[in-house]
Parts: sequence; structure tokens; C-alpha cells
Amino acid sequence: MNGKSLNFVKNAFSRYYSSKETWTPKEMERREFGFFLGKEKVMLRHRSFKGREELSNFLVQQAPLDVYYSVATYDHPEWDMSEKGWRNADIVFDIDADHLEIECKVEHDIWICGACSKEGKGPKPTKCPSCGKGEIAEITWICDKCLGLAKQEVYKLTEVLQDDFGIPDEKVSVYFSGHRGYHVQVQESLSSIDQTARKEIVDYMTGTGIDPSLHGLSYGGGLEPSERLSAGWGTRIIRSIYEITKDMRSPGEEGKDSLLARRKQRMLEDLMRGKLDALSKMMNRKKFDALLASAINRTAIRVDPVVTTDIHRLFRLPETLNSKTGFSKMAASSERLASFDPLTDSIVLRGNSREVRIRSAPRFRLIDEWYGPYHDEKVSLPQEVAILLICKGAADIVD
Amino acid sequence: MSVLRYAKYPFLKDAVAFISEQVDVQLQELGRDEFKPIVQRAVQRIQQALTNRRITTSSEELINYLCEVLSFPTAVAMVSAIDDPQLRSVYSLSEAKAAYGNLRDEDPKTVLAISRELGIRAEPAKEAISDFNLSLVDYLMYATNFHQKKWKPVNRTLIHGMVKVTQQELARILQEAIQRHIYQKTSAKVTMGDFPDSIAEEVVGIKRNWEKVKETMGFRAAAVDDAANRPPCIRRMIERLEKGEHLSHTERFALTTYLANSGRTIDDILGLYSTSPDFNPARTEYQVKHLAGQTGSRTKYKPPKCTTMKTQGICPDGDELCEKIRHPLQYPLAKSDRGDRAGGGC
Repeated sequence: MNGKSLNFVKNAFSRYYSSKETWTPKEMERREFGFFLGKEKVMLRHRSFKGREELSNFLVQQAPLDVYYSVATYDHPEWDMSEKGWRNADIVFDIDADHLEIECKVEHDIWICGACSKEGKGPKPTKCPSCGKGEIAEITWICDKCLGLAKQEVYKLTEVLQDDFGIPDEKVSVYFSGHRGYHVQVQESLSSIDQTARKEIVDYMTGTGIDPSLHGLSYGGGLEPSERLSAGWGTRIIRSIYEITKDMRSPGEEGKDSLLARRKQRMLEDLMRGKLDALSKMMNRKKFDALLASAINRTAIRVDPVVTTDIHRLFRLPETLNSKTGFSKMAASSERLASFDPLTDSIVLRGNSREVRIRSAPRFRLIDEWYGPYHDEKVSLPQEVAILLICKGAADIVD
Repeated sequence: MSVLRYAKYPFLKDAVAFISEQVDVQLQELGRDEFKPIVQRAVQRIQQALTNRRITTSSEELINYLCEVLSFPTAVAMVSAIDDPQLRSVYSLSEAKAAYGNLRDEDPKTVLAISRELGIRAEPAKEAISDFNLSLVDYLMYATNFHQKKWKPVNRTLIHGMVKVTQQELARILQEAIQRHIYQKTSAKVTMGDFPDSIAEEVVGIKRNWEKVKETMGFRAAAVDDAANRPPCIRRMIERLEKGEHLSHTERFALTTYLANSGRTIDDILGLYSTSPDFNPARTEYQVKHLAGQTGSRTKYKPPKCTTMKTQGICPDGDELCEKIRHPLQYPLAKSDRGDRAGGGC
């Protein structure tokens, strides 16, 4: 991003912050705030604000590229880390499409070697295959597919928070991060628990360290009668096994009354009752273990373990702009989540066209339009599209 | 609650309240002859902690409940006066283990009453009389200290914020809570001068005995790092660095703190990172020095525990020695222990 592009982006950010009321967290005056003001990688942090107006003025005047606040509350948020006096911290989860195993990365992520300008698709290599140097820049993109998969993880997470953890819906906030994923934040409940306990919560979500036999799930086994409930890992694993086996088709199963079809029906009924006997009779132990492993994998929720266990985390402030895209971190509460379209609903910097010089960009959608692919060309594009390309490091403003 | 229960659980508020209605003893009065059995039993409590790591109560002692209950605050005052966190820890654990032994077979109502007093929210589970539902927050407060995998929340039945536990498991959690409760109690400011002379002599005797026991408990310093004694996680990170591969932030944190805590110099560590594709000497030096406690807040960071590294996805499949340890820094010690034994046989 050159100086001119940076000014263009910061002006748009400032106009946006002056046009709306700033979102503020509960106990705002006890939180630490942090900002990236320019493109240099130094964060201005340990700041605190007494109220909405003070923060709002700061955002309009400085137009920071990114705005963060602490999930923790402190006695003295502006003091040094060791002196702050930690009180408690909201539980937060970060679901990032980048951490999901997705094929679309190969279609839309680009890397460029800083030394020889060689370009390639997919994840960046450790060394440039052409010149052998290691200075490789990466431009990651997002699409409906990866954001859709991230949303599926949000559904799984909010269900577990509600059914297993007993956290009421109104205490759980879901946000699109403004880039590649979602942030899920739990207010009040569990805010006093320490780092070790937060690690256990992460393990619960990701299924790390699970031993299915402790849930009664072993070859020929099944859930205890009292475990056959609507929630908990044991029930979820059984549900996943049910979904996987229901969709499995084997030869000889076509006829409704065939032996195989009847056996399968019996096995599914067994699963509904939390039992694995019939399933175990249909396969050997090795296959059973593989099925169990894939059911666990399907049940596991891909949250970033580092974010949730960090009790001093600085987290992006809701309704502020993300410098990687120019999109807003936008609320997508559970009743809105199904119809929430991140590539439309978080685009708040809409405006007149600007001419930009684009180095390289894949084909992408924004709101209702498709753009690209572009390669080394000048194009006039609506403000929100120009800003996305500039923020991605793929384009600059033309004089 | 019956008076015998006060003797079994002398740390309960009710026990203290009940006794203070009957007799009001001040520390200075403990030298009087009629209180001799209380002092003797208090000394015995601490000695049992030092030798058996568990307080035992005979049926005669139980029946003599006034003495039994009063010996507890007396022992707590003695431990407080010695003022050594390790002794406080040994003593509180021994008291808590005794309570655990009783709670396992206790009437469920009493178990619930004791839970309440310790601030633990539990209720009887509907399905079975011997099972309880325990609030997740309280479960996390205590059970995260336990090593066995059955204690991990992911291996429990968790419904609507309540964890199902058996009575024995609840008793184990209460043991942990009781230990912390008694450990806190032994932080009271008591000096030798608060005791009559005869009792102060007893306390000096206990202290001398404790110093001997403490020597045999000696804590071991971490071993010095060499290529042959590294745990698989650290070995793998170094191999990847040497191949010129990139390590994540969490991996770099673990590797740097591991090496800094096992005798490696800043230069040794910097040398290792110099093969990294994005090596920036100045920035790496700053970060390594910061983690090694040589700049900034001067905090020397420790590497994460094995369970944390598992959560972060940076623990490869460990070897058989990994099963015996909880922390990567324990690996070289475990390895040398095994080596010593093998060597001794030759």
C-alpha cells in the first residue's frame, strides 16, 4: 500500500467512524485498547477510554487501520501488563477459515516472491522454487465456500455453548471478523476461570484428548442409559456416526427388503438408542475405530486454541473496520446467522468508483457483482472494491 | 450434623462454632495441664503429615471429639508459626486426604452440606442416588489439576453447565478444595511468642523434624540441554528449523523457553533460528532475550505444559517417556533416570 492509497483508505475509515455511533463494550473504562495507526507493525496499546465520545473522537481523528480492545477487564488498563490488575475476561472463540482444510485456498490464494517476482497459487512455499530465496509475500482471499464452512463451525459452537455449557443465547454474541472468519464471544458466564480451565474448554470444543470409551463408546458398546440425552460428546459422536452411516451406500442394498437394507435399518435404530452392537457386527474392529475417528473429527469444532486460552487477548472491536479488507466486524446473531452474507452485510464503505492499478487478483464476488480475475491492469471500481484490493495489497490508487 | 462429624471434618465452620460454644481456648492458655491432650494430638497430626502424608483418627480419638476438633486449630496455628509454604502444603494435603477417605463413604446429604460450605455447587443427579451434578465452573476450578484423562471435561457428561460425577469423584474434588482451604488457614500471622513456652518448644521440635524431612524431598533442577536428551516435540521443532522450515509463534515460544530454561545461552538459541527463512537478527534477539527474562519485565518464561502443547496442536505423538511426564522440562530428567537404572544393571 503506497502513501496515496493509505490516505485514501484512512479518509474512508475516518468518514465511516464520523457517520455512526461507536460500539462500546461493557465496563469500557476497565478495558485496554490497542490500535494499528499506520502500516508499520507497531501497535499503540495500553490505552483506555472513559466513555464512548472519547473513543469516537479518537477513531474519527486518527482513523486507525485496526481497533482492538481487551477481552479482560483490569483495575488499571493503561498500566504495564504486570501492573494492570486482571479482574476477569470474557470467553472468546476465533473461527478462521484459514485453519479449516479447504480446497478453495488453492483456487484463490496467491504468493509472490519479493526477490524475483515469481507468482504461484495456493499456500506459500518456504522458499521460492525459482530463485531459492525466502522473501515470499502471500495474498489470501476469501470466498463463499470458505466463509460458509466457517459458518458451519459457528453453528456447531453455539449449539455446544447452549446445550452442554448451559450458556443462554442472549449471552453469546457472534460476529463476522471482517476478514476470514467469525468471532464468538460469551459474556459474564465463566469469565472468572483461569488459563488452565480455558484450555480445557478449548479441548472440549476441539475434541483434544477425548477417549470415546469413557463415554461408553467402544466396539460392541454404547452409551449408558442416563447418557442418552440431547447433549454431551457421547451423544454427539453417536449422532455423527448415524449421519455418516445413513449416507453410506453399499452394493446389494438397493432393494428395500434386502438382507443388507434390513440390517442397516436395525443398526440405525440401534444408534438412535445410543447402542453400537449392531454396527459392531457389521464391521471389524479396525473399520469401527476408523468410523469412530471420523465421527469425532466431524463433531470437533475448529476454534483457534491460542485465542481462547489467552486471558489478556486484544480482540477486534465490533463494528470497526478490518484493514485486511475494509469490511466491518459485523454482528451476526444466531437468529440472523442463516441469512447473514458476510460479503454483503459487512460492506459498509460503499461509494463512487476510483481508478486503481491492480497487480494480481483472482475472480471474486462482492455484494451482487463478480470482479476479476485481474493481472497488471488499470480498472475503475466502486470504492468498496477498490479498498478491498488495496487492503489486500493487490492494488494501489492511480494518480 | 452430629458431633462425631465435627471430629471427622474439624475444618468446617460449624465445627469451630460448635466447639467455641463449649470451650473458649486461647493460644496462651494451651500450656495448662487440662489442655495437654489437645496439644499432644496437634503435634501428632503434624507428625503424621510428615511421616505418612495423611492424618489418621482412631475410634478413641473420634469419641473424644472435643479434643479432636480443638487439636485442628492448634495444629494450624503451629504450622502457621513455622511459616514455610512447603510444610503448609504437606500438612493441608494430609488433612484433606483424611477427609477424602471419610467422604467417599459418607451419607450423600453430608457430602452436599460440606460441598456447600466450601462454595461448591452440587446437586443429586436424578438418575442415581450416588451420583451428583456439579457446576462446571467449580469443576474447572479443581479438576484441571488432575492428571488422569477421565477428569478432562471432554471425557465427562456435560449437560447444561453441569458435570456428572460419582460420589468418589466428588470426594476427590472436595479433597482438593479442602486442601486449598486449609492451606489458606495456615497463612495466619502467628509467631512463636504467641504460644506459651512449653508449646513453643514443641513447635521448635516440629520445625527441626520438618527440616530433616524437607532435605529428603529435595526438588531437582532442570537438566542441561543436549541433542540426546530432548523431548520429541523440541527435537522435531529443531529438525524443522534446520531444514529451513517455518515455525509458528506458539512453537517458537515453546522452543525458546525450553532452551532458555535448560542452560542454553542467547547466542546458542539465536544460532538455531539463523537458518529460518525469515530470520531477522535484531528482532529475534529482542524476542529471545525477552523470553529468557533478560529485558523488559525480567520475567523468565517457562515452556508450556504438555497438555497445553497438545491443545495448541504442537505436540507430536510422544514416546513412552512422555507418558510419565507432564512438562517438557521433565523429559531429560526422566531420560537420565531410565539411563541410570539401565546402566546400574550392567
